[in-house]
Amino acid sequence: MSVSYRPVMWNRNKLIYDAVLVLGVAVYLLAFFQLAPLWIDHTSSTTPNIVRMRAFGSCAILMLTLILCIGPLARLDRRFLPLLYNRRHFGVLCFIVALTHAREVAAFYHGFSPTDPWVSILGTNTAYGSFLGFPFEILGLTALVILFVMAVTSHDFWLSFLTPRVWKALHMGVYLAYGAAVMHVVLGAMQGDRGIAFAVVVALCFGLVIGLHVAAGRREWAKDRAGAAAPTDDAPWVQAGRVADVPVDRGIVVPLAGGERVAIFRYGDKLSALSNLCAHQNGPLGEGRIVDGCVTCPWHGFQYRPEDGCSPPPFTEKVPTYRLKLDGDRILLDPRALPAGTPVDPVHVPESV
Amino acid sequence: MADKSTGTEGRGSRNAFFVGYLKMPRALGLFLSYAVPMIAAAALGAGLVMATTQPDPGAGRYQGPATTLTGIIEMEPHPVLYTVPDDDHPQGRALALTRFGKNGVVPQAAPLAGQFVDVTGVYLIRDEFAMFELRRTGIVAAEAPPDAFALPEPEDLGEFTLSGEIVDSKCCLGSMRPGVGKPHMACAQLCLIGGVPAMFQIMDEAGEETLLLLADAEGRDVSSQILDYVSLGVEMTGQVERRGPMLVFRIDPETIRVL
Repeated sequence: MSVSYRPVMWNRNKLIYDAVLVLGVAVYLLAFFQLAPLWIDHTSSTTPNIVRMRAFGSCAILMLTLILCIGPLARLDRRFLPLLYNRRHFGVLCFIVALTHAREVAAFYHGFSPTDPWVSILGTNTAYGSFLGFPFEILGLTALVILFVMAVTSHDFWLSFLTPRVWKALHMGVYLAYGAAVMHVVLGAMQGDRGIAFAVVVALCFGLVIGLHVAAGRREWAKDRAGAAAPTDDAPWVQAGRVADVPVDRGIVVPLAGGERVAIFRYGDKLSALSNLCAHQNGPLGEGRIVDGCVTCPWHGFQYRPEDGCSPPPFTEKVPTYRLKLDGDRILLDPRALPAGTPVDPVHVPESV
Repeated sequence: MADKSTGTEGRGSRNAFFVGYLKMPRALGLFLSYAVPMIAAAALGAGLVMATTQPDPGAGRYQGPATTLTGIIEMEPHPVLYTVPDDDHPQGRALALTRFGKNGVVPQAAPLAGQFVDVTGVYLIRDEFAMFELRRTGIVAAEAPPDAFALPEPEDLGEFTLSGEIVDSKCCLGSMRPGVGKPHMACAQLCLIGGVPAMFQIMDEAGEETLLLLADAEGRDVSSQILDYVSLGVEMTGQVERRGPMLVFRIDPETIRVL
């Protein structure tokens, strides 16, 4: 969290994260350039420019696959949440690797000609009506442009400027980028006599992303069904669970009929309810913890006081709050959200409950 | 903002709570010290599969040093030098011509069409196939050799329907390794647009490769009509004719079918 914008708010975990990323890319490229040739028995060497295209291109598609796996993986097993923490740097590095691939292609395949490389990329192959002949370069360029937009707007300044809702929607473009990148490979490199092993790797990457998202989606759907707020005779109050369901210093997530989700936290002998959406990146507050008396988002550690949904000074983030009351051991929730930052008296849990 | 020095520990890695700006809970750090290398190893393994299954690019290469050949240039469908026979090549050679970059030699060769010329450059050679890339002085008029020599008379070998890949001869013969296939499509199209001779690469059942110079039904340059089919597996019908050591495939672009 920060009250001012800095290029990067470095901390130990971010430094380790970035060091592992850079080391991983370096090892990958080194293996591609130096290790793989030891297993290859070819008539002569592949042109170095083409090897570089393949190395950076394959690295980018694998990185994008991993980036997209982190989200559902963290939903299925929260121990992977630290991988989510600095995922933006992963995305920026992925863009740089993809850009290097594109520069190699533009300089080599689209260079050495009177035609400008950009004109060539956009205009040489125009067989858009053909499947096998489709200009796959345009798919790669689409993915690259999306990754570029995401990379340059990855800073929290843009998150604040665009609002989390717009920023999030913009960054969901990563799925379009991945689809374009996969089709770029399928209609490009995969048509180039690369053999069944290459196709299997690409299919496994795509299958992994789809499989993890389906698994995480099914789990969310089941949790929503199990934890959905039930109507009561005392409208508009809805039943949001039982006190015993809420572990101390943790929260539960209560889905409402309109699709919103409410996070109910227990801290000491008190219960409070906030919107489940963190004001930073819409992270799931209800899956966070109480740290230093504040609800702490599991994604990036943004904090809010449970009584009023405000970040403690000097921070200024706010989330909507909700009214709670108890009926025996049942927690009743007023599903009408109060304006962000509205103080609400916490509900005291009697010792008998 | 939190003054705790670490995220909340809980019991075991499953209960540990990570807060990015606090110290990593020990149990979670231990879990990640196993999990992250495993994920990285899987990605590295996938990359190595992709790296080690790269196709054999073939033996195409430039062969120097620059040398000067004497012969007659025929312009249609593409500039081809028919060299004067010598001891090494009693039948003479037929060498399609190109120059640096994705460029043909029509501007340089046209004024000397049908004449004896000296051509300076280097070979592009792959297996038994060769072409010639101009260097420095390029093409200059030469005196006729003492022995009679003329362009070979075309010999019609009949109509054929052949399947294979339309390639730019320069990359196909080793200017790029590999210089064929879909990933190389735009490069091949640029080469053909630039005037590099278009050829048709076919394989027989035994894997023996043949390269045929492509022309339209009248024997002229057909490149502009076949650009959409370059680098794809295609089948097409036309007349095959032999011009000395060179095979020319005179096609009707309307017969091209993507396989």
